[in-house]
Amino acid sequence: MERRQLEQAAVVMLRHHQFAGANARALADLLDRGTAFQQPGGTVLYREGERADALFFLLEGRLQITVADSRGEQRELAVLEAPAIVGHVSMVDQAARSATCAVLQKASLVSMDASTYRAIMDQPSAAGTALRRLLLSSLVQQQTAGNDRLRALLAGIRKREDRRKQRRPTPSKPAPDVTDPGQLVGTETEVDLMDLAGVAAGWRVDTDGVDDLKLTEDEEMRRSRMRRKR
Amino acid sequence: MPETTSGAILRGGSAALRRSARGPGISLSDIEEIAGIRVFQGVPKRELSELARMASITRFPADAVVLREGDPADDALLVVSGRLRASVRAGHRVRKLGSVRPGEVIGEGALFTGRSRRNATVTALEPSVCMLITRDLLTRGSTNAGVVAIEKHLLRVMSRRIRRTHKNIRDMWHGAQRDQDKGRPGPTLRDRIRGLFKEPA
Repeated sequence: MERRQLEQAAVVMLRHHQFAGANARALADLLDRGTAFQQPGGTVLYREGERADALFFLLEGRLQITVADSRGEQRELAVLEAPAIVGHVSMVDQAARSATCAVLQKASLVSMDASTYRAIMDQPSAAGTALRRLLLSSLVQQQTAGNDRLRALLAGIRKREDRRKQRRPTPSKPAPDVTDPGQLVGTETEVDLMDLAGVAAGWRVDTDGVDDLKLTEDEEMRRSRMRRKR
Repeated sequence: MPETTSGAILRGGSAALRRSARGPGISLSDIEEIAGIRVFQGVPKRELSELARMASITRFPADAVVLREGDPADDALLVVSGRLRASVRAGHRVRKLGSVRPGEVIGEGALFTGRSRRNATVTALEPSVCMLITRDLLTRGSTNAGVVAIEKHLLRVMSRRIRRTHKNIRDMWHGAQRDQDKGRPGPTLRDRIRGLFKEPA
């Protein structure tokens, strides 16, 4: 890939991942250390459970992230649009891939193999700084978005519970035949959980969201108690 | 009031540590602890000296509030020594989230996103020393091996959190599917989420 194209890609990537001391030239240098390639739709970049041997910068195109459910069926968790980084969590912690990643439509990518990654990661150079901070920025963004999604999920459960309470039977009006919204039997809740699994896998999000979650829950419970008192 | 200072100079070896400890506001134990915490293992003393010159070191007495929930956030703290506790407001109560120990970084989200509020209050449980990590430090110290060590440490911490949460959520999801397959009612989603975060239902 030509240098000009890499610099353009770096500028676009920086718009999505702001970090201290960011500069497009350093990021383009980083991308230049990888291997640029194109893949047609349907190509699998890596599979769930495999050992990580590279991370990927998606410059153009779309990727599909899937995981196997408890029945062994592949379920889509997310579709990622460029610019994005995938496969980096496994590179950082050297653990197996937590999902399968495939090219959804013709994609332009840069791969960075494990030895290049490790060499750059330890360098106090501009390229090393760009790599570390790009990954940090990506992980923190995922974490923040994860917290938000967890909050939204809990708020959704609360709303459904409230709606269910409003539908309580009265002597003159029999209860409608509805599924317990808090029960994990419906498609809706399953999708919620898949969302979360995808989020937590690092494709959209991560979650140190425990703390925020507790706060949200407690606040909701408190409000609910106040409403009941009134 | 916490005491903040900067300009600690480490020129290698314990003799240098003792010399630099004579500087205003920085004690020998502060600097020895900076050099001794796991994050900086393998970082040359010369690099740590430079880092200490650039960074601010803050001492907090016991019970001092280090970070306050809801306050604007644009920097992080590396705990050098002591012990702190994170908590959040929960209605009229305060919920303890856990303790923070030397080598741990708190408030790091503020460095890499536009997020601007602290999401927990952190209080010193005992006299504690923290290194302030600012965006400016990361920019000026981008080639410093100590800063590189901090960044690598943060990457490991965050990837570990992702893995742990992913496993918890996946177990929860698969458990729900198994219950469904076997026709068991199973716990509610709300209860499962509570279990995920180790809260009693």
